[in-house]
Amino acid sequence: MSFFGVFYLALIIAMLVADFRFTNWSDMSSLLSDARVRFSIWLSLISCTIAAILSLWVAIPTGFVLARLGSESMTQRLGQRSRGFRRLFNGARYFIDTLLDIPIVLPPLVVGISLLVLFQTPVGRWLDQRTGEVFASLGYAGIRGITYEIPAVILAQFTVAAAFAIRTMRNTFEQIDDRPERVAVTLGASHYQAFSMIALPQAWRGIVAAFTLAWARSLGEFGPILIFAGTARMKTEVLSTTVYLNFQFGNLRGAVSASLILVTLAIVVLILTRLITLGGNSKKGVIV
Amino acid sequence: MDKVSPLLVVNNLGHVFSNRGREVRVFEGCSFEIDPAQFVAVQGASGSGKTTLLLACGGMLAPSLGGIRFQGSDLFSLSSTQRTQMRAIAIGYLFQTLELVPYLDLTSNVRIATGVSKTVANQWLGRLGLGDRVRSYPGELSHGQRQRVALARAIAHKPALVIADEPTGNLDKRNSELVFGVLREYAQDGGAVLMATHETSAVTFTDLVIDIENLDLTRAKDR
Repeated sequence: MSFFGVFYLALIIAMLVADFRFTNWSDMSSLLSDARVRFSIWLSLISCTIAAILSLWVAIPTGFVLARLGSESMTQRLGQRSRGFRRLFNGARYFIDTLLDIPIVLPPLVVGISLLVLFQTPVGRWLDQRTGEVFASLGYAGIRGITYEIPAVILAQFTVAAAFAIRTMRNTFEQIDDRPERVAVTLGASHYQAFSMIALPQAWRGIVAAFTLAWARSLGEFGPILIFAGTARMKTEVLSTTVYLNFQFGNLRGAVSASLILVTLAIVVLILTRLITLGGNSKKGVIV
Repeated sequence: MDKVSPLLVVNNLGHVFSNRGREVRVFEGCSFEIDPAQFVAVQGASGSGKTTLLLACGGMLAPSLGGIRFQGSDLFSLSSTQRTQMRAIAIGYLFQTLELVPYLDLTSNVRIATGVSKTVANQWLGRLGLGDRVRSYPGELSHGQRQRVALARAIAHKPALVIADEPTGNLDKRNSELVFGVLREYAQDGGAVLMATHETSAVTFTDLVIDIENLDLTRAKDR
């Protein structure tokens, strides 16, 4: 068992070493001197951060509700209801759970195609147009809508990252005893107060983990961005598409150098997360 | 003089637990009324049903027999949400298990109760001898101090009825008298208090003592 673990660890290290040995500082330097690559780095950092914030915004309440709907106290409360109601309730809960996991299991290209098709519907087109108008009114006339524009990059990243963030937040809240929240409601706190004063402070490590996971997932996102946002340089190019474009044009050294930037960012973020989430009940920095 | 309408009316209350298929009667035929500004103690041996009675009066445990009216409403004909809303505003509850939130400081623990400002929370903590510990966490206090925090939380939002389950269980004589004194003052200010206690000294502070084992009501004037 441990032999296979060691083998897998060796594989990861060997890949990273191979990447670093394949390229050199001058390759990296020439890549970084390219304004288009610098743009893609900035766009990656900004879009990933926005996508991660949006993911958290959705994941915290959704994860909380999902965790509490499946809690032991809810099961006890359901025990007083009819068998039919219990079946309906549990069926609806599993259905919602499954729907929220779909972006995790779908091939990334399918997510991109689905988004593209969605924005070809009348509602999608209307939203696309209105978004363009909003950006124009804000002085960003260059952003003409969602599809094949920067919002498409963020939406594509968010669509996948949010599913991972929800799963993380649900696991986090499931590990937090809901008794103090129920007592607080009994004593007069509103459900929002019980959530914000009691559950949320306990969940901060999970929130950091969910943010990091969403951010890292967004950074590595490629398929949906390729289909839904395109790979227009100085427009919708992010680091993952920089790797693809360099590879596509035969510049393997450039592709590897761009990959190393991605690898470095991912490692920095993972190390930071482990440092921040060390201690407490988080099993010493393990992302739940 | 007009009779004050009672705040809490307990009518022929009884409760039966099921233990391994065997019915266990905790108490039955329990009736009493609590008026505003009245301090009532429930006494009885361990296992006699004091906590069960208090939980029922707080709307947290539906009794097997009889009924409870609070502020004119039949508690258990209300929906669970309505009961929770009523309890949030009109009932302060001190659990025997205290139920303080370990990762909130004392002020925040007291502020869990409806609409309690930071100043009011700290005033109550000060009144109960914890004024210099408001930033502490429950884990840093003795059990007796934690009991006083739980009492502050039950009282701070000025509910019409305070229900206190063994509020002096782990307190020394001086602190027990401090707690009884606070509850007595609360009753004098117009709030009703229903308290379960083992302490015999409590009778000197209360208006009515209910012996749950014999269902005997003793009024202060009769003592």
